[in-house]
Amino acid sequence: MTAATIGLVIGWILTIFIGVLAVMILIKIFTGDIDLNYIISDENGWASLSRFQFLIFTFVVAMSLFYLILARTPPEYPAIPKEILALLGISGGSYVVSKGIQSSRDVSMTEADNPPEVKDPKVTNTPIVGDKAEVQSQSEKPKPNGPQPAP
Amino acid sequence: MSTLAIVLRYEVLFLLLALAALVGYRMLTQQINVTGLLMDKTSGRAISPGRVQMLMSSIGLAAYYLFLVLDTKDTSRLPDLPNELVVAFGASQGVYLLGKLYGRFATTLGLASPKVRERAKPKEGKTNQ
Repeated sequence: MTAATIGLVIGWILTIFIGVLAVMILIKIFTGDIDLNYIISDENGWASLSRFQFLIFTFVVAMSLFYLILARTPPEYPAIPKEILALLGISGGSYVVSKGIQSSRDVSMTEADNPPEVKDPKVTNTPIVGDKAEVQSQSEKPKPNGPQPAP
Repeated sequence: MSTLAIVLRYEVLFLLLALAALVGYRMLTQQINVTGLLMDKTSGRAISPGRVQMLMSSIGLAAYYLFLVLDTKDTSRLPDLPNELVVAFGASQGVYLLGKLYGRFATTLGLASPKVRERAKPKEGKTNQ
């Protein structure tokens, strides 16, 4: 068996593995077993603009890279211009600074006895532990940033 | 080898497009939580202008770049983005962050509106832990 044949066999095994994995992930997302409900939410349950922006850029850069890699024969990784790195850096830096400001605000509000509003988690069809009753009891736990009940 | 490359090409293309479509559809039907995406958390306003402009600039830039990629002739590198757009995007992020910083310190510096000051007051019946 030549090296080229071995390479081809390994290539097909990997391709089939990636394909099966992709289909399984998509099916699990579609049926709700992989829960995307809070994919862009922050720790208080509100949708986060920074995370949403990250999501958009992740898709755009991934699709662009993939498109250009496969546009060449043989496939080849394209060079990445510095403007794109700057764009991702600005986006990432903005996310970090934004989180810093928000954490600082949350801490000062909690210290002032006025903790930030926390949204109740929505019960989804993702089994966290065991059956539905246990999932329900998970959602009824005290809010992490909220006021604790007096003893 | 060429058959393998073609299969892999359509496989990954399918995965990326299906994932993007699924996430987009779930956002539009609110199966992905988008509550408060444009809300000003400090003042409680339903729409924050800083957030709206940042959302618009992000989506606009992302769409523009996708069109650049689809339109490019040189496939050896990702297409260059005009410097002006990068600066504009940085300014958009700066405006958003300054707005957030202002909201953070407005009450402390006495610049906040009466409504915001009211929200910042400790709620009645609470004691220090």
